[in-house]
Amino acid sequence: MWQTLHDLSFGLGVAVMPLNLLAGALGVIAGTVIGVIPALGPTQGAALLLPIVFRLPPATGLIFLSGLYMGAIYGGSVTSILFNIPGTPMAAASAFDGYPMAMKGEGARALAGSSLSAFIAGTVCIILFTLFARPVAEYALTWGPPEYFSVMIVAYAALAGLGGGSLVKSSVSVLFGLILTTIGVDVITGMPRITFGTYDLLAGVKFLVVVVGMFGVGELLRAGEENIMAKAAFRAKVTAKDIFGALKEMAGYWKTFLRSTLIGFWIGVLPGTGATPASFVGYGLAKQFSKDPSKFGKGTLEGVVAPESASSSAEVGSLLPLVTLGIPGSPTAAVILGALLIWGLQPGPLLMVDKPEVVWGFIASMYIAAILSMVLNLFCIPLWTQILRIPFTVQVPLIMFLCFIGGYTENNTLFTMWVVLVFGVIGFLFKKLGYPLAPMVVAVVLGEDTESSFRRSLIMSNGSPSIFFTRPVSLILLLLALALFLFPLAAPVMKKWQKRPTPAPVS
Amino acid sequence: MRIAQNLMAAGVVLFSAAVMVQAVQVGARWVEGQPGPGFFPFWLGGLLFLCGAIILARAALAHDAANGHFFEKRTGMESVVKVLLTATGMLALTYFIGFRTASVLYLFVYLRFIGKHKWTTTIALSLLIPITGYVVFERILQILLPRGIYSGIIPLVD
Repeated sequence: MWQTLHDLSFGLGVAVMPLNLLAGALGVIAGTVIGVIPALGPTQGAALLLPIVFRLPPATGLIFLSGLYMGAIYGGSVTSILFNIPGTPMAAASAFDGYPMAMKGEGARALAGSSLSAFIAGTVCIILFTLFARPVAEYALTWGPPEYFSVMIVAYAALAGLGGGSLVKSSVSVLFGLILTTIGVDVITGMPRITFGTYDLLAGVKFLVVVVGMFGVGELLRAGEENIMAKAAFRAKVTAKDIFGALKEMAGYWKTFLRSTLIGFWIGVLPGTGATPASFVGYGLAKQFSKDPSKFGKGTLEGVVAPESASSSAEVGSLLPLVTLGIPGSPTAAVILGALLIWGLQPGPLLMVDKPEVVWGFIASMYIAAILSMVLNLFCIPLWTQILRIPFTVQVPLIMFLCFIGGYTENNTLFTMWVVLVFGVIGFLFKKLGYPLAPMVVAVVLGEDTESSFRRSLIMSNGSPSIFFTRPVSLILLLLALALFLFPLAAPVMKKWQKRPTPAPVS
Repeated sequence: MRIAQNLMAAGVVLFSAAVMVQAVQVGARWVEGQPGPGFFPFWLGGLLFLCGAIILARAALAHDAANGHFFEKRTGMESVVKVLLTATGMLALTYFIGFRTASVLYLFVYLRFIGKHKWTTTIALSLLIPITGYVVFERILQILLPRGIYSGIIPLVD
């Protein structure tokens, strides 16, 4: 414990060195710009800037990366809330209530709430991280493929409730997303499959392309129809009043906040999952546990607090297996892992012993980056509102241009640009016809891991599906998934049942 | 609206059937001590088929569901088609003249003829955006954007 505190203060000392502080600030600015661009998120940003970053010394380079990371997350939330175009996938859930708030003229409050909850959750999780690093990772290590499979089923089941009305349509969304990830070369056997007879689909349909298409182009089409893009009108500045008002309101949502933070942290710790599913699960659970679920989606601050705190927690949580075990907890953590390897640093328990300045400097710099990006985000909002003044007919070709390039960066083929356009149409149709997009997006992220854990489990049990029900942790997770899935069906029944004992009002 | 819903559900059914057929082709059974590559997609396709069928069946049984038109206004459909057609045109042009020139033309056409902006604004923006894009993506980030078959052959096309 004291050792941990000592290490952390040592790391803070490394992070506040002038050169490192400058690198962090530059990272935040670059990250915010990247985050605001719908096509680029922290993963792409980190990946694209790697060639520049790895020329810096490791400690400085990592601080730049964490600045980039945090900046991109904050920048993504800004466009998500103001334009309903998630700059980053993990900010998609923030748009569910953030955008309606912006439309009501409460954009400043939504942004303040989003920054504050991300910042506070991040702080809580850094403390959790330093306390529980080893025990938590060791417990997760005892899990086998069946447990991983079951925990992903929990994520899908929680999401199906988020779809609101139709369970069938939410299920279509999840299944469609999962099938997309099976397109291309099968990782286990190397066989090409579900390619619809084309060679272009051999490389598969990647998450980035789906997200840029469905959210970027799909939203352009929808906005084009209703011509709503530039309608969001709100005060241009975030004032101290907004910040304190948001803080005061957030105090009432402490349960939601705590739930999102803890779940987000845990989801982040699980390898392969990251901030995106965490934010959706955080939002879904907040809605399901709420006394008044109907207020969600219409612009309540609680609907911003829940996903923002969950995704920020997951970001920190995803670093836990990275630092302690060398397993990335999220796609961005995977890019950071790549950077560490380029510097010749092998993440794992040994790195904590050999190069404490790198590990703790990185963790401390996450914290400093969070402060920097919060300040930048809160006080540069007049700058973002300038983007809103751009007429819709300029925004359309500009965003389309960026979406095409964003999809193209996935594997540098013109074909992916067409795929972006096709997913734009699919996203438009889904939205118009009441199929929720969120479950599909999460399914696309988790699909590969879902399949490999499913197949590994079956190999372990020699083909018997009973393996998922006979292992206690897996069984508990599956029962939880069933409960979450059936919750929307049970909720109205329970409400009726609760009402029955009260006598009819005499009038 | 109802027709659109049914078409979508039919599309889901067709898609899932196509997935199942392809999954069977690569082996959806137990092969050499492990599930074949088509195993997982086959069962996903089966579940998706079921979901699509349920939506279709419900629509056939219900009489009051889903009123209204898919597009509420005629102008709504027009602008969606405009956004889609111009984007498709740009990608098609990219095959011939490359992404850079195609994006200049795309921006020019969209801004001038759909956006009805002034000539000066149109020309300034349709040059400024692709050039900034070129500097940021090709120069700084080293992403080479696609070239067309006439890139570098016709003057000014690159």
